[in-house]
Amino acid sequence: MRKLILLPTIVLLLGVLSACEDSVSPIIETDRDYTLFGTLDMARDSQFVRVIPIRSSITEVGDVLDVTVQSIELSTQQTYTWRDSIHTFDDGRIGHIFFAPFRIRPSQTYRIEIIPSDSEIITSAETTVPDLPETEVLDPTLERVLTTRLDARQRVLWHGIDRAPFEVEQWYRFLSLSDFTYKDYQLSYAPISRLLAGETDVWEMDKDLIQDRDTLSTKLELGAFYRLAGVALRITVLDENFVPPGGEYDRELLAQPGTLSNVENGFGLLASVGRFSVEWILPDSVAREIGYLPLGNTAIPGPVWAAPPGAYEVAQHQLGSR
Amino acid sequence: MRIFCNLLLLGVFLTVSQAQAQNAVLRGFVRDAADGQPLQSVNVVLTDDGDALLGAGADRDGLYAISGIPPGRYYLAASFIGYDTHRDTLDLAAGDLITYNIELSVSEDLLEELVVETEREGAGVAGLTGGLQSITPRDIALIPSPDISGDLASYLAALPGVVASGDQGGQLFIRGGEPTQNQVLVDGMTVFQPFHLIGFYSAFPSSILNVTDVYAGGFGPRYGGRISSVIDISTRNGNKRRMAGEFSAAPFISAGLLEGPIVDGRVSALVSGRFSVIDQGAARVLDRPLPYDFNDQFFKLHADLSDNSQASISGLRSFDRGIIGVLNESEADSTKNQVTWTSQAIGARYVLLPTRIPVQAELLLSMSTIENTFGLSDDPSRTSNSQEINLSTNVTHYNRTADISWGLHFRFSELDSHLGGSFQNVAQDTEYISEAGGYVLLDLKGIEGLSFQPGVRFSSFPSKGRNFIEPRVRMTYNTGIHQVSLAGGIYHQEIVGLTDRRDAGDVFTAWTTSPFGEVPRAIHGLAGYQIRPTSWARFVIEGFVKTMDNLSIAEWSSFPRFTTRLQPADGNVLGLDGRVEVSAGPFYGFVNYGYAKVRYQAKQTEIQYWFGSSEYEFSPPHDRRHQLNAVGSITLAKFILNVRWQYGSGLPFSQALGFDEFVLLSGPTDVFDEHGDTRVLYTYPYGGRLPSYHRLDLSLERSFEISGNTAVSVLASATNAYDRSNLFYIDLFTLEKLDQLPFIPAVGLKFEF
Repeated sequence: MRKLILLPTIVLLLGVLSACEDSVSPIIETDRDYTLFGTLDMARDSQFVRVIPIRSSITEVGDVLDVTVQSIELSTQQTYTWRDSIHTFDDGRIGHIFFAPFRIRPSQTYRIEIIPSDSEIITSAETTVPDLPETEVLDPTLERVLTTRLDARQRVLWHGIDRAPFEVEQWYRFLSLSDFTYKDYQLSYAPISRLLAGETDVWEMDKDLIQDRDTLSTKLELGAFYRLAGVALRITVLDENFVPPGGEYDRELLAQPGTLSNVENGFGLLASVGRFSVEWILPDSVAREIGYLPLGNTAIPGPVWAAPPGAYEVAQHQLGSR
Repeated sequence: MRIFCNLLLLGVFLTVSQAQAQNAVLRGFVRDAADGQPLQSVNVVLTDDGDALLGAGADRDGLYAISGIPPGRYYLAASFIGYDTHRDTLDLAAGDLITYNIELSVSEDLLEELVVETEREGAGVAGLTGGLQSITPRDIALIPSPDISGDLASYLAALPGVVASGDQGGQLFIRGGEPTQNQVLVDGMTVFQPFHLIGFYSAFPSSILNVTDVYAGGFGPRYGGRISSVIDISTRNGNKRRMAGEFSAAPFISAGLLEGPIVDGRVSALVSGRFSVIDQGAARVLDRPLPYDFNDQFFKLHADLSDNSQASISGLRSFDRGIIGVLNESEADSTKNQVTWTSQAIGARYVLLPTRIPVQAELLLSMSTIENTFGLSDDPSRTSNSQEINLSTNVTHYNRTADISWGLHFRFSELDSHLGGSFQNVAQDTEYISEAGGYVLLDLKGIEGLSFQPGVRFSSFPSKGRNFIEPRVRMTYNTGIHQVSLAGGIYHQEIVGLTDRRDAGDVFTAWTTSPFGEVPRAIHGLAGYQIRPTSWARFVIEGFVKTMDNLSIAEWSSFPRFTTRLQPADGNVLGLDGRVEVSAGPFYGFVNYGYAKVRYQAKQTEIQYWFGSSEYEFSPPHDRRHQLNAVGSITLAKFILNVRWQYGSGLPFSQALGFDEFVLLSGPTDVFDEHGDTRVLYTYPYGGRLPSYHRLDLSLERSFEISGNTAVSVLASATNAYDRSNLFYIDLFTLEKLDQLPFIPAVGLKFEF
């Protein structure tokens, strides 16, 4: 009799055990719904950021992203509502890129918010555009070395930049006598940059005017049809959000969620890029000594403007007289 | 240290010589008369007309030695339950050194066979002594499996403290240690990665095994080079009297074995081979792809060279190829995740009882190789090859109050890895490692019932400029029905195996030297108590602790499928085994419970921004806290019914918040140009737990004797009898889940002659 009871009990027990389907999910629910990547750039008339919904599977992002993205310039509360666009990348994936037509300004803090239609949790990030620096363009120094070789240098000081410029570019502007227009030439190299001794936020750039001339002379007939109109430097400065932990852009490290991230209720990075330029005109005597034809009294088609488009012009300097 | 050793050895010789001058020594080999197999644990006892009682048990070679025998007439009795007792009368004079070999014949009465097995130290599941579990083919036969021929892996997985990664993967974690921290020896040869992809199988079919000693920790100084455990396998010799063999077929594997004399009574050969038939068998039964292919081969030549010496040559090859985890729909994609490994070993062993010195000497020479690949067969993305040549000697001096063993070893290893981006901070070239070392072990027997075995192992790696001294101790004290055992020691591992444990489907192992300069080190401590309150039941409980330093683990990364770096980690293990064993009439069974807590501590600068601290502690994916095994076997009307139920609490796994794309912003970036890389937003490492695991296996076997030695056996089995969906693996990328093997009905057939 006991065996008769035992057997169905065991069968029942096994049946119950087999029915015990523990559920397990590798995905934990989170309030962080979006990832935001993008840089606000002073060089652009419109700004672009990418919004990535955090999804529970590796499958691709869908066509529809039911969110409102807006930016606010905190000091003025000027708000832009951004528009969504579907972009297909070169690897075939698609992404949501939001954009708004405005230019950013130095020292201003911008806040971008991703507001979902079905949630009160707003994903947001802020970035402060680097401050406008002050510049000093020092007089060029000319020195004869061994009577035949000329050494001509010019230093430019940038005040108020507390980290190394991300990029330094230099231009020369010439007046073409053949068509009476300005021609801009960017050098492929940058002047030596270094922190000024004893300072923490003054960067010194030392231009080698002779090297520049030699480089340009390979492209232009400097002594015939081109007169030197102006010289310009442009620097690109990143805001502090770009500074990686440890000082290195280590992909493995920075891919760790929360690393190099400033997004609230989400992941990713919003940063801003400052672009600043300074332009000046070399004194005619210096230009001639180096080997250029100066403007002199040549009639000009308009103001000498050497800085490239998109840069925020810090200052124009007139050295000596034309 | 050298001076110490020389002095010690000098003392040993003096002691032995002194003892030798006054007393006699009797030693020899005990063999089965039917096939010449060595008989372990045979009690050889000398009595005289007075109170004298001297004795010794035979070891795995059947070797016994009784030393310190005062001159006189003695009555020798060699007994082993299941065999007729061998008796003789010996007259021993002072200084005699007698080699006396014994052959025992099977008794007509075999009723107490099982009791025999439990009388060896470490034998029977509750015979656990100082971490030592001794396993014979008879033990293995108790575990239901879909294969009729049995396999060591099935039994190991039934032991508490032994955690298998699953039915698939071939990874065994012993008391918190990693699979590559387990030393596997076969007839003294190192065997790398001997466990097959399907968890029921290893390279060791039951039919080739003699005795397997599993030291879950606290192993003595004779062993070295691994920090977690030792699986020391002694294989059978071939039959020296007649040709014999067996052939079997089952849904997972087909096997064959042949053995017989080459020189009658003196030299034998044994050849075994198995190959998987999953495609033709189990995969069709289950209607599910099982992309596994494996096979193993073994041979052994054994010769009794003289009355006091024997030699053997053994060779083993094991091959595995398969894909662990969720299969992609595209076959081409799947084979990119294919892992293969080939493990080979060949070795020679010579055992000598010198005619003039009361010692046993063993000389071993072996070569072992392992080849690992990951990816396409003709163009693997990762490879790792290792080769080890080992020359060692072991010598035991027998004395009445203390046996003294010592040994020397010379090892040469070649390591070659091409890791295709994995383990980026591992040197990816060919490396040569040489090692020389030795050990000294005392077995003090001064107090009745006490075996105290202090020892020390020393190793030197000239090419690395490293030297290790590792004190070890084992102690057993028997009094009445009680036994207390202690063991502990310090262990180092110069050559490590690296596996990315973040992905259960990634079982590729790279063998290399320690990536961080500091060599992994472990300290073991364990204490056990055993009681035999009745003749039919035994209970043992053993607590253990292991601390492990300088481990190498995969760094936490958001790109788990691609590349990774390694980081150092420390670990500690705390656990407890409890086992009850019952043997009554036709029933034998045991229940064992294992508790283990495994924690790793690591430091990774990168994660501080994500987890708030660069130091983190986690339970690695083999941290199975609770295990329960119940095994029963009953013989009724020539049918043998075996039942096993196993339970394991859930293993840790990593969860995620989801997926996004990661775009590296290192400067002004055009978001139209950067598609980004898919990223897993991980949560704290191994913060989740898989569901618990439980399974019932059954088998019913019946043998039909055709004539004499010829028999046919039929086995019907049910693996995972109630079809529990035990979760093995979750693919974080696809969210697909892979279960362990489902209900598998199987029929096996074996023909023996």
